[in-house]
Amino acid sequence: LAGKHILVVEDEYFIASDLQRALKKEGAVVIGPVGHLEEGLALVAHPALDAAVLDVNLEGAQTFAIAARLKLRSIPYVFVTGYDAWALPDAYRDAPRVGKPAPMPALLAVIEQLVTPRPLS
Amino acid sequence: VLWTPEIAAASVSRVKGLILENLAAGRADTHPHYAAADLNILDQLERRTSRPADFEAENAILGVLADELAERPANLLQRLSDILVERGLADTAGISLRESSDNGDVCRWVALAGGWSYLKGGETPFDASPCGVVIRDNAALLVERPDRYFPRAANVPLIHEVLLVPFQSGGVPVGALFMAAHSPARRFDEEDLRLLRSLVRFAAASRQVTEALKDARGDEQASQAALAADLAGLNRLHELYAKLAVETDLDTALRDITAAAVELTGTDRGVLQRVSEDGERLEFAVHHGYGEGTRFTEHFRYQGAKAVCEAAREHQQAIVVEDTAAFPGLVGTVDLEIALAEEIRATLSFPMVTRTGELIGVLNTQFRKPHRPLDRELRFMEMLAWTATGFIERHSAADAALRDSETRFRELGAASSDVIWIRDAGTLALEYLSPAFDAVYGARRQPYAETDPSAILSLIYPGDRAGYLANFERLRAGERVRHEFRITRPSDGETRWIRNTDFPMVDDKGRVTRLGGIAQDVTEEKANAARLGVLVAELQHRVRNMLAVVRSVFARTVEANGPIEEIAAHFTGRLDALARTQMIVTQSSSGHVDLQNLIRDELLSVAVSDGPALAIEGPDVTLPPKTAESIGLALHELTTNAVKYGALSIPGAKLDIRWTVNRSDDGGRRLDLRWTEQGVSMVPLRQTREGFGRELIEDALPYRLGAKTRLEFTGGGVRCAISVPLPEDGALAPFASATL
Repeated sequence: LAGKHILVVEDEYFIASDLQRALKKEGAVVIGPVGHLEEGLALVAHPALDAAVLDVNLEGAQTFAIAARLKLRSIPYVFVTGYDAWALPDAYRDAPRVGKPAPMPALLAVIEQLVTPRPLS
Repeated sequence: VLWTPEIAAASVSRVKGLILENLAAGRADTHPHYAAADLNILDQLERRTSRPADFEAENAILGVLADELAERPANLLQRLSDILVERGLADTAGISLRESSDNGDVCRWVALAGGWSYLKGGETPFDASPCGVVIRDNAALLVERPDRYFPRAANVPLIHEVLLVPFQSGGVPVGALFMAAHSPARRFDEEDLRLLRSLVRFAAASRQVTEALKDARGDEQASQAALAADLAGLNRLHELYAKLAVETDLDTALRDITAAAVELTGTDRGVLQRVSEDGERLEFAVHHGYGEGTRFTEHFRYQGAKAVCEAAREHQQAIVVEDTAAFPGLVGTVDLEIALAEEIRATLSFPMVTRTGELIGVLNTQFRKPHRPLDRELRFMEMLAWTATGFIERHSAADAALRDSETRFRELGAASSDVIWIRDAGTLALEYLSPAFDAVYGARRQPYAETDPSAILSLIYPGDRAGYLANFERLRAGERVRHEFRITRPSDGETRWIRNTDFPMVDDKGRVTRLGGIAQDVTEEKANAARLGVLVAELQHRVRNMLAVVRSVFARTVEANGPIEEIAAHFTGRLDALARTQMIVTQSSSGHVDLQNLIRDELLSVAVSDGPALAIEGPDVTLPPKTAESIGLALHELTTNAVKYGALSIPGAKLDIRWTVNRSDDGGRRLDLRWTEQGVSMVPLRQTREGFGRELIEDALPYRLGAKTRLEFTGGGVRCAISVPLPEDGALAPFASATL
């Protein structure tokens, strides 16, 4: 993850802060973390973004709009959420998702996969 | 048809020797005069649960007996006993008949099957057997443990219960047909009694025919022709019974019976009359050998029946008119004129009387010449009249059962709040639509029930129509289907979700002839399910988030380094603080938390209460859940520190907590909270490090709440200022919408 720019959108301070620390330790550049939808939407435009970690529910506001913009930019993302797949809208049921409370190594592994270029098959 | 009561009375006396009184005998069941009143427990049957009348089984048994009557008439009674055992109705079954012997009267087992079959041919003294009681009383008998009452009768294997009905000949009881149970598990019911009574009538009537045949054979004077006629008659009867065993149509059955009566009395015309619905008249049900619209049929179809009815009711006996022209009472009447014009010179009329003594019809045959009937003819007529009665009784019972079941179905349909419907599988025309349709579909039932089968489609969402129609195909293929679709209720224009649970209805050959279904308005159910889904998802989200926070708090507490006991105490304290705020949040109906309570709860948790050293002051203010959670944690950190190192640990030091609600520069409401300790000289070592409390106040509150915070250690102790945005007064969202 060294040098990778990772956007973190998470309204719970401690979770965001843990993730930030873990990413920094891996050498990643953390964009954010932010806990509000508007801030998240603004940061999607960051030119160097490699991947994003999105909480789904920000005090009632949902981050699907951020996910949609990321998709437009072809930037991979992962949801970190307490919701099960059934509780998500159809369009996002198959999106990468890590359940809360997410073990940090597992979450980092998923982010790692997101930013690893896939061979054309 | 051709008599008045007077004539009938005259005819009765005239043919006295030929009258078959046994037609009335079925009613004589209710004259118990046996001394041991407790012997007959027949009245218990009323209180026992009974199986429904099984006419199918009865028909099957009658069919077998009819075969036997034709093939081996002498074996008929034994066959009847066998079949009762074969079909599991009895453990032992048999027929005993009264006989005179040198030692007085006895009851002899002329037929026996089952456990007691080894006793066949044996006898018991008349006075020492249940059969004797039945003959004496001419009534049915149910006895428990007959060995207690009849010690001289056989008792191996032991009989627990025995049911007997009188076996009559010419109206006189001559024996008994009985079923016995060797196991206490088998207890007889009213259906057993009904079946036994029906079978014994057939057996008795058949036996009269066969006895007559035997007499004829034994008579040296009997011509070969008479014998041949008897045999032919038996064959004809057999043919009839074989047909009736599988016949379900009443008219056809009565036509067949009338035809047989005509043939077996050696004539070419006959009429079967039934009592009219009002019970006043006798009407033609079948006429055989007469053209339609003749003077005879027109005159007698409904007419003169009142007198006949009275005669038949009064006497319920066979009436023989050997010569109509010479018959008293007929002479000089229009009836006679018409009868003679139709070449009716003699008649045989047999009443059809049910077991309960009700007259339901008369079976007649007419002769073109004066005629004195043969004994055989009268016996055949009696049997056929009985057969017609039985068929009508069974048919009307089945009819009543069907009407009953239809009534029940309609009552069910009327009571159901769901729509019950039935369609023709071919045309899809609605055959039934329950009244709930009006309420559920918000449309009047009639137009949809009676018109074009697809009319209902107009109520269904265009997008759901194809699916709705496709399901009919699946139903026709024999599948059961459950599907949901939307309708627009014409009554109020509302969209409703309907769930149809549909099933194919098949005929006895397994073909799908109808489609049935139950339509239920599931709009509320679906909305509730959706709400519940949201709630469950929200609960999951909150619980998992909380676990993530707890893990994070734990990691940070451990990072602080120190003795394990201290780490444990810190962690427990923080966990308790989290739990306390959670509890306050969920206990208040709005989910909002009173700040003063929050502070006091926190202080109370470390056993600090009001005193000169403590000041808590500020206006009433309620915090939204999220704010309360974070402020609660911050207060906990400040309190713990104060107890350990600060104002709450040093005598004479003071703690001042006060707050105000203000407008900030951008016009929003803010809570300004100040925590001020005084009189603490020493700055605690721990507070100099980047601890959990400091991170919480300086980083977490701003991040999570958009708060502005300041935490400092002055000479006098800890000072903390927290300024946090508040929702507008009165804009406090209720708990549900705040969390969902």
